This record gives sequence, structure tokens and C-alpha cells, in this order.
Amino acid sequence: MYIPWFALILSLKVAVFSLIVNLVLGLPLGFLLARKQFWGKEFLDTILTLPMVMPPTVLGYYLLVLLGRNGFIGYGLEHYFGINLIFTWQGAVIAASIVTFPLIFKQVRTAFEGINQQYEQTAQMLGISNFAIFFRILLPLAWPNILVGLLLAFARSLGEFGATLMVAGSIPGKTQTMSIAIYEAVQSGQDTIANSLVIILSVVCVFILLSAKYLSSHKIHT
Amino acid sequence: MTRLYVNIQNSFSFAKRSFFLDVEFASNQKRIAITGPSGSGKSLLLQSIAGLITPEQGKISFGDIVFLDVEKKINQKPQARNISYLFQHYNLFPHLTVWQNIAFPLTKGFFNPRHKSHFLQVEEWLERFELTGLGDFYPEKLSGGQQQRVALARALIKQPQILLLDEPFSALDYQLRNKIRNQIDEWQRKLNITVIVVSHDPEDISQFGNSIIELKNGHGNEIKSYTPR
Repeated sequence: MYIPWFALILSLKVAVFSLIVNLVLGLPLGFLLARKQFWGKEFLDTILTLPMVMPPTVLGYYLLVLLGRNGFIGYGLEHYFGINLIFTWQGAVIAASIVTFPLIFKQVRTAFEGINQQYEQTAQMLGISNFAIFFRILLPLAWPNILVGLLLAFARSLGEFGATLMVAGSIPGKTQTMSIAIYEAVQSGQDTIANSLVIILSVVCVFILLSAKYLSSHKIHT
Repeated sequence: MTRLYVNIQNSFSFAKRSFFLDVEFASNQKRIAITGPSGSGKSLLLQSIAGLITPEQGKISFGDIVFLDVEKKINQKPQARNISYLFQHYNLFPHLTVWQNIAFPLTKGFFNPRHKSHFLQVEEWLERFELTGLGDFYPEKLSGGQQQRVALARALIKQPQILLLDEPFSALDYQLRNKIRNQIDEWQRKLNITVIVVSHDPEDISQFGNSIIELKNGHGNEIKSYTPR
């Protein structure tokens, strides 16, 4: 079986990095929307959920417009820092992050909303600061649910195609991820390569979904 | 000497009705019962004393300590009031063992208590409430009565000056009710703390109602005060 190691490792690398980005952004945002009241809250939720329903190619196009050499962000990055994100693996990470963000953010919000507020009140009455309550009560109770979101996002990242292709292109040995390599292999008639790639991705995705299922059935009942 | 002074006004708007809580009482008793029909604001009063609710107007003080004085902009956080609150459904933390639940208030940092050697008093409390041997169990494995005793040990280990009890025995059967009521009675005397109980059970009221506050539709004042001989 032929295994294109580079594409496989690149896909995993992109998925891991986008997971970290989304955990850092999604955890505080999900918590904020679950527990705080502020003006425009549901509007913010809608905006943050938008990538879930938009076609990845549309997201990729937006990113291209924003991050490209003449784009709003891209121009500044290139001009002041000499950074160009288009056709790089870092660009693929941004694309995958945006596409998978709602999966993590939604799951984080639901996870925190599902915790009975009386646990926080109990901990307050026991003299624990609100900041410590987050780490001692809320995060441990929400974590199994958040982990499910992370796994789904990881699987989704591995399969990301549209937005990644728009932003990072398909440069073999540089930005060609697994899912894009499959497309290229089929296009050029290399069926054996396509077959082995498809099998690997399928096995990984089934494994991740089974793990998510296992985790959600072993949750702590709150 | 007035130990507990409460004079608060607050309007609440729930889903379909608005509610006005207007309570004033002063008590020098160490056993206070708050009673009244359901929906009369008993729990809201208790939560105001605890600091979980901040009333719009009024003052709450305990001895020399001012918990709340809206005019003077004093509002102590619940954490600062040194009050323990026993909730109706106990609220044991499901991800922590019985031992960790009881030791919970003893560490203030970002981590839950782990090392048993640091908190020897936990073993004493396990023994006092007949929980010896259950320290490593998770709360879901315990019976209702055991869960309540864990919650009580957790509330008392931090040595509060006031213990608030919200319908404490409503989820227990009759015999268990008497037993735990007597345990709380005993610990109130031993620790000499103030106990405020919200209940509509006449037996709770007769046992803990040296002062009785009766609420009717959000309005309340003291109806009985008993002076110990």
C-alpha cells in the first residue's frame, strides 16, 4: 500500500494546530455566552456559528480576500511583518480553524450551560473565588462534553477541502493535505494512491467518532 | 444585643409574574426559622442573607459585621460572609469523591484537594457523620441520607458563623428526618453557631424556631421570639 507520508503528516499537523487555536478562542467565548448576559449575545452566537452553514469555498474566498496580498489583513501582515499566509500550511491551519470553530464553540457553550448553577453557588458559599470555581468545578464538569467537540472538530479538520484549497492551494510536499491529495490522485487516474488514502482517512474518522461516542456515554452525570 | 438584623426590599420579575420581597426583622436568637407558604419568598430571603442575591434596598448585618448596606455601598461577597448554605438537593460535586467534597473548602487555590495527609480533620468529620469508609466513593453511590451528611460535614468543616438550611429534610423519609434534625441540633449547640432554617414542616419550626419569621407573599416579620431562661 502506498502511503504519501507528507500529506498524512501535514493533515494531522493542520488538524492539531487548528484544534489548539479553537480551544484557546472557543473556550472563553463559549463560557462567556453560556454564563454572562450582555447586549447582542445571540447575534454574536449567530456570527460565530455561520461557518457551520456556509460552503467552505465561500469561507475560503473570504479568507483569500482578507489574507491575500491586497487584502485588508494580508496587506498589513506583508507590509509590516513580511508574512504571507496564502499558499502556506499556516494558511491551511487558519482555513481549518474557521471551518471547525462552530463545532467546538457550540459544544463548549452547551457544556457550560448544562451545568447546574447551584454548583457554582455552593462553591461560592464554601469560600472559593469565582476564578478558582472555573478550574475546580466548571471545567472538570464540562470537559467530557468539550472533548467530544474537540474530537469532532479534529475529524472535520482532517477532511477539510474547500476552504483549504482556496487559501493554501495544492502544492505537493508543501500544502497538499490528505483530502486534497485524494482529489488530485483521482483526477490524474492514480487509483491505488486514492484507494489507500481513502482507507486511511476512513479508518481515522471511524476511530474518532467511536471515541467521541465512548466519551459521551461515560460522562459524569450532573 | 441584636445579632441578626435584616431589612431588605427587592423586586423580582420571573417569567410571568413580578414579586416584591419586603422583609424586616431583628433577632438575637441562634435558631431562627423562616416559614410561610411556597412562593412566599423564603428561599429568596435566604439567598439574600447568603449574598447570592443582592437586594435593591436595605441592610443586613450580623453582630458587628455589615453584610450589606445599599446606602453605604457595602456588599460583602458570599465568599466573605463566612456562611455555609445547605441546599435542598445537597449539590455534592459529582466529579469529586466524598473525601474531596468534604475537604473542598479547605483549599482556596485552583486545585481540588488531593493529599489526604494535609487535611486530617476530614477523617474526624467522616467519623462524626457515620461516613467512615465511604471517603473514596463518588456521591452518586451514596444514599440520600448519606449525601446529606456529606453536605453537612462539608458545610461545617469550614467553621461558619451561620448555617443556612433550605428545606433541609424534605427529600428524606420520616425516620431519617428526625435523625439528621437531631444531628444538626447537636452540632448547633457544640459549635455554638447561628442556624437559620427555611421550612414549612412544623417539627423543624418547633425544633429550630426560637425566632420564627413568617412570610406571606413576600412580606414578612418576626412573629415569635423566645428568650432562653
